[in-house]
Amino acid sequence: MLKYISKRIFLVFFVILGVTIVTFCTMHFAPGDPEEVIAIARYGEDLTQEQIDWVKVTEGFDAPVYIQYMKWLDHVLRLDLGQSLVTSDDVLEEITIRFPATMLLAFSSLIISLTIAIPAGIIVAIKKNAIIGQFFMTGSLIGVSIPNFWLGLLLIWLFAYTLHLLPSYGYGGISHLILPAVTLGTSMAAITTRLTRSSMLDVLNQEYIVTAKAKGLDNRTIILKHALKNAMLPIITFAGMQLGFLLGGSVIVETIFAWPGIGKLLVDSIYARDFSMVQGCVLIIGVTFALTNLAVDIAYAFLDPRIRYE
Amino acid sequence: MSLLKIEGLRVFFRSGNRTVKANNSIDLEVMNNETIGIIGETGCGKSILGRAIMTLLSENTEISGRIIYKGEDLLSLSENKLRDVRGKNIGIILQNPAAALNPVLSIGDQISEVFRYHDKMSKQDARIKTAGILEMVGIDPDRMGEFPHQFSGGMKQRIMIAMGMAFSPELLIADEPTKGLDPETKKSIVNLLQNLVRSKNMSMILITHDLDVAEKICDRVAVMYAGEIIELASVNDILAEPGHPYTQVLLSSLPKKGLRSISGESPSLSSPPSGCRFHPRCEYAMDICKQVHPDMFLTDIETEVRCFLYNGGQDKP
Repeated sequence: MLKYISKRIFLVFFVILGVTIVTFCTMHFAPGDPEEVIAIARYGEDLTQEQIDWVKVTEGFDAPVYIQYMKWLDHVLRLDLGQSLVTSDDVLEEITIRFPATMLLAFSSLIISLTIAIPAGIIVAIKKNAIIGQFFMTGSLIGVSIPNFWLGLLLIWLFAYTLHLLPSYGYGGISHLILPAVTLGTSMAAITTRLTRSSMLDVLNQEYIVTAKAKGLDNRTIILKHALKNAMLPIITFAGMQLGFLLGGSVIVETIFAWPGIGKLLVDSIYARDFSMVQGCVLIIGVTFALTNLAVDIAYAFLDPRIRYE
Repeated sequence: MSLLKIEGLRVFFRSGNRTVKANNSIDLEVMNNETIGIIGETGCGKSILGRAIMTLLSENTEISGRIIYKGEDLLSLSENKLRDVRGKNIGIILQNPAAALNPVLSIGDQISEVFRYHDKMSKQDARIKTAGILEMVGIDPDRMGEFPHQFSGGMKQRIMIAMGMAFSPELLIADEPTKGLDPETKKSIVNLLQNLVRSKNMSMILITHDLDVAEKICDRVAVMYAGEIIELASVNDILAEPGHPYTQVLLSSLPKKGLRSISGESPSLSSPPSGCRFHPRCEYAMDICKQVHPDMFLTDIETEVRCFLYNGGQDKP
């Protein structure tokens, strides 16, 4: 078990190194010159070529790419992600302020998703032909097909505009959280329901389910104890990936509901051509994703003894 | 005395517009303290028979006939009553223990849950009982917390036996318990089964294609071919004087008897040949064999054979 975990941590280290390289290169080769943006911030819209060149030299943009990367990496390792080119705020500080909002939204919507999807998936799997099974199956098909932005707008129209029950945007108490979390949670639940169903159907065809039946156990024990624990393995992997994406900020939902998370920060920074902020966001999102997957791998070991004793 | 009586059991699977007739009109009686072997090639329907007795077949199966256990027809019992019979009165050892054990539950948990479920035992009592059973099948009780993948093939088979025997059922169905085991392990598993069945006064249905194993522990043997029992006799009689032409070639296909192969292929269970199902491969086939399906006939040595050669005093081949 320890060997397995340390191996995973060791690998994640390389993944994160890869993330820094890709992040840096993407930003470096992206269209638009950072020196121009800095120069505009410094000298205003009326620029001369000399001013731009001067910024290029003083900021080190004329050095070879790998030197720039090493310099940047050196700063990153000392937790210095630079300053916003637009507002001069510290990038890491700004991200730290935004991150809790994204985390709150991510975990709430994941909980909503799993509490709907796992029971629904089980019911669909064991009551294939019954009306309730068909009902959930149709529901999940509709859920998969509805785009997030549309569902978000629909919910705003119904609960905020028509019924005046919930605020349509912003960050604050539980009431602000409900609409974005439900939007994200239900659309994820739709996919997870289908995954739970197929995973459950697969497990129910296994020979050890016949063994359990031969022991004279009732259906409840067979499904909840013998089948579900096996069926959960792919679901955990998938939910972990979803969580990774969510912690990277769900750009669309955060934008619709003006949720001050990292996804919205990223989009706003892209519009403002705020290179260092975009770079910081992308880096943090990549690292979060890698760490979430590490957590999933470790959780997996607790669920599956075959991995635990590898 | 009779413990289990199967009468006219038919098991059909529908797939598309084909009907697979896995068991066709099976009649079989299992006596108290008797070990009866079901032998036959792969795909002859012998495993299906074992599962049908436990009513473990999937819902799209058509089962008819009667399986009478203690005066009650298992096929018409309610699901609740069946659960009490399964595991407690009739145990089964499924083939392929690697797939039949749940990979994410410890073996102790998988055995002790039957006591906790059927007898409402406390966790502690169930553990003690489980330790005793593991010891009985030759597995260190300290390994109770370990998982199936940590055991070898032979040990997994012992765990399956422990599970099937947990309640000392009156009838144990063992489906290919020696499949895929090396000769030494096979021998020890056969000995274990034989000792357990004898010491607990149980009856056993042993499903196997291994005639050596059948010879060692069975009292009687039923030979199956294409979903039917074609010969039923004591193990000594069948080995000394096999009646059915199929049994004869089956025995002569053993390595020690010269590895003779059977010409032709096993018939498909969805469209079996007319008349006697073995007639296309039978060297004694007569005209009647192609048209009329034979009943079980009694031979001179009181064995039952499904073959027209034994219809009314004609000479044995």
